[in-house]
Amino acid sequence: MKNILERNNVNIIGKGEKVMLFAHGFGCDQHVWTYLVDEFSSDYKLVLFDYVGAGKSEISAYDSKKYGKLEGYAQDILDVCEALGLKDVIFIGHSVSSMIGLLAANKEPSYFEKLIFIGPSPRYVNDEGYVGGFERENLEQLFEMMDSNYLGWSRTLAPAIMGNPEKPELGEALTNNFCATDPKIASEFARVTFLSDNRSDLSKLQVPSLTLQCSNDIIAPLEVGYYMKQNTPGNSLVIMEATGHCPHMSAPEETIQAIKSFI
Amino acid sequence: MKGQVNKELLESLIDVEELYQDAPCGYVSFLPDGTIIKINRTLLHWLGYSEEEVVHEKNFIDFITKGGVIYYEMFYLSLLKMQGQVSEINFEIVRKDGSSFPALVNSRVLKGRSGEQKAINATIFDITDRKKYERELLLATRLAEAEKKRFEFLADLIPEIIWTATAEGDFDYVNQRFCDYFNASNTDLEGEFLISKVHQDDRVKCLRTWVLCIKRGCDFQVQVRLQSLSGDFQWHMLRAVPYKDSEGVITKWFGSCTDIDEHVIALQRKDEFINIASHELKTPITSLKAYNQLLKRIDDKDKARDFLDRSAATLSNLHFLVSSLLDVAQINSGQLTVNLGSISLTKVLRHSIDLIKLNYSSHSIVEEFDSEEEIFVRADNQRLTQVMINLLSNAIKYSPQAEKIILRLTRNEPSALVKIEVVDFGLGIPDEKLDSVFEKYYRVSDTKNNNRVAGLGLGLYIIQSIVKLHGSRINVKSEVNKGSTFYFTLPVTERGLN
Repeated sequence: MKNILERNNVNIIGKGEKVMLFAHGFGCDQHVWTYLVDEFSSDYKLVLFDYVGAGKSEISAYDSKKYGKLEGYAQDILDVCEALGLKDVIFIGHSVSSMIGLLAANKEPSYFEKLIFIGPSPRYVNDEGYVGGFERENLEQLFEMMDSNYLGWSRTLAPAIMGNPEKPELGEALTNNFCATDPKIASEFARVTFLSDNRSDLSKLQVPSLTLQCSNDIIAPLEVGYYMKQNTPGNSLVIMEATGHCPHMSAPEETIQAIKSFI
Repeated sequence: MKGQVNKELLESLIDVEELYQDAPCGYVSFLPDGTIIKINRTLLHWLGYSEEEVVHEKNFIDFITKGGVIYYEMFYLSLLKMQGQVSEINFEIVRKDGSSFPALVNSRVLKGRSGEQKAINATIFDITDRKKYERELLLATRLAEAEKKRFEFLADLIPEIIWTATAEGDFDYVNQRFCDYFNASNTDLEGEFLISKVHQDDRVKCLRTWVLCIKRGCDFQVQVRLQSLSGDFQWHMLRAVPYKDSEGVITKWFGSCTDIDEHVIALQRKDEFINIASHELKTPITSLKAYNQLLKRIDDKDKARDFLDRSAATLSNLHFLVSSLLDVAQINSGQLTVNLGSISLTKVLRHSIDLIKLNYSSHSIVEEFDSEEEIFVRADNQRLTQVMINLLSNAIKYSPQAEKIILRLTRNEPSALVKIEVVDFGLGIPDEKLDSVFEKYYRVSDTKNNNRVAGLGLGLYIIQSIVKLHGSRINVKSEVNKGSTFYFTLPVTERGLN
C-alpha cells in the first residue's frame, strides 16, 4: 500500500469526511488543482496524486506497454482507491483524466459516487459523423512540437547529436521545470491521449457524472460536450462562460460554483 | 576622460521606440484571451501583415499552427499561469500567406495589483537558420552513425578478428568473431581482460611492442598465443596500423588478429623434420665412412666382400631415404605422377614379399590369397610395389613381439574391386591418432622404447599420396596392443588390357 502512495506521490489534504479525488490532465501534475484545493479543503478530504511518469511519481514504475493505453492510467486511479480503502468518492478529472476516470468507474463502480469531467473528449480526431476538433495531421504537428519542446529547444537535439537519446541531461536546470516529465514518457502520453477513442465506453457508465464544457475550448469543442451528454447515461452538461481548456486555472470561481451545485 | 561623456549625448543615443520597432526579434503583446494589442514592425514584416490588420483584429493563436494551438492551450497557458513566464518554446509561426517559419517564443505575464493577468508580452526569434544547421548536423551525425554501422557489419562478416583502438591504444571496438572466440561481449574491452587471454610467456613481448608502436606510430605486428573459448592456446598474428587524419595525426588504430596456429605448427614440424632427416642421413654416411676406412686396411678378400655387402646395404638404405625426400618434394610441387596400366597384382605382391624376406627374417608373412590365380588391376607397377613394401615393412617394424603378419586379398565381384589388406599384431594406434598417421612428418611416438622405431615419418604420407593418385585411399583400423590393419582397394581389369 505504501508503495502505491509513493509511486503515485499521493497527498491527502483537508478536514472533511467525504473524499474528493483529483486527477490531473495530460502534461501536468497535481499542482494544477491549487485553486480548487484552497476552496474545498475545509469541507472535504482531498486526495491528490500524480500519474506514473508525471510530476513526482516514481518514474521507474513507468512501463511503455502498460501505459500505452488509457486503461493503464485508469489502473493508477483504482490502485490509489484500493490502497486508501476509498469508497463513493467524488472524482474530478481534467481533460484526458475524464476518460481515465470513466474507464476506472466502469471497472469498479463501487469506488465512485460522482464523476466530474472538466473539458472531456472521448475522441480528439474527427471521424465520420463525429466532430472531435482535429485532423490527424494537426496531432502530428503537436507530437513534433512535444518532441522538440519538452526540455527546451536547445536540449532536444543535443541528445540525438551526441548519440545518446535515452539519457538526456535531466540533471540540467530545465527551461520550464513546472510539469517537467521525462520526454519519452511525455511523448508517449501525448500519443495515448490524443489518439484514443473511448466513444464506446461512454454508454457503460453507471455513475452519475457532470461535464464542464467551456464556451470556447479548442481542445474540446462544444460539439464534444453535446456528444458527451447524449451518449453518457446520467450525464449533466454545464456550459461555462469561461473560455479555454483549463477553467480550473483560468476561472476557478465559476468552476467551483459549478462543482458545488452538482455535488 | 572617464565620466566626462555628455549625459545628454548618451540619452540621445537610445531611441526606445526605434529599438522596439526595428529590433532583430519580434515583439507582440496580447490580452489573456489572446487578443493582440501591440506588435512591432519586425514581426509585422515577418508575418506580412500591416499593423491595422493585426491589432485588436487577430488572436495570438492565429499565428501558430493548429498543433501548436493544442500545445498552447494545454501547456503554454498553464505554464504561464503557474510560472508567470515561459521561455524558449519552439512554435511554427504562420505568415499571412499561409507559409510558416520556426521560432522560439519567450513570454512574460504582466500582472495587476491583485496578481491577476493583465497582458502577456512575447518575444519571437526566427530560428530558421538554426533549425537548418541543426538538421544538417543531425543528418551528418546520422550519416556518421550509418558509416559506423556499415563498418561494423562488414567487420562482423569477416571470419577474422577485427578491432580498433584509440590513438592512445585503448581498445574501443571488436567484431563479432572476437566475441565468439573469447566468449566475450563487445563491451569487454578492458585491457586487463584482453591481456589475460594472451599466453603468459607472450604477454611482456606483446605489451612492450604495442606500447612502442603507439609511441612511435609505426605498424604493430606480433605473434602471440591466445586462449580460445575451449581453453587451448592458439598462435595468432596480431597486427595494427595507425589511421591518420588529413594532417597526419594518428586518430585511430585498425587491427586484425589472424589465426596462424596451423602455419606455426607446420613450421615447427618442418624444423623438427630437418633435424630428424639430418640425423637419419648421417647414420648411414657414418657407417659408410667406417666401412671405407676398414676396407683400406683389410687384405682378406672374404672379409672385404662382407664389408662391401654391408656398405651396399647401407647405400641402398641411404638411397631409400633420399628417394623418400625426393618423393615428398614431388608431392609438394604436385609433380608426383603415376603411370597407370593393367598390371598383375599377384606379381607385385610376390615380388614385394620376396624383397621383404631379404631384409626381414623375424616374421612369417601369411599369404591369404591364391597365388596361382593372377589378378589384374589398374595401377602403376613400380609405385604399387613401393606401397606394398612400405605397408609390409611397417607391419613388421611395428609388431616387434609378433611372429607373423598377414597379407590378404578379397575380391568384391559386383563392383569389380579388389581389397588389399596388411594385418599386423603389434603395438596398434590409439584412436585419437588414427587420423594423423598419414600426415607429413608424423611418426608414431614410442617413448617407452626410446624411438625404437625410427624413420622420417614420411612413408605413409608418400604411399597415401600414391594410392590417392590411383583414385583410392589407404584406410586403417587399429586396436592398441592388438594390432593394426591397413587396407585399400584397386579396380580389377581384364587380363592384359592396357
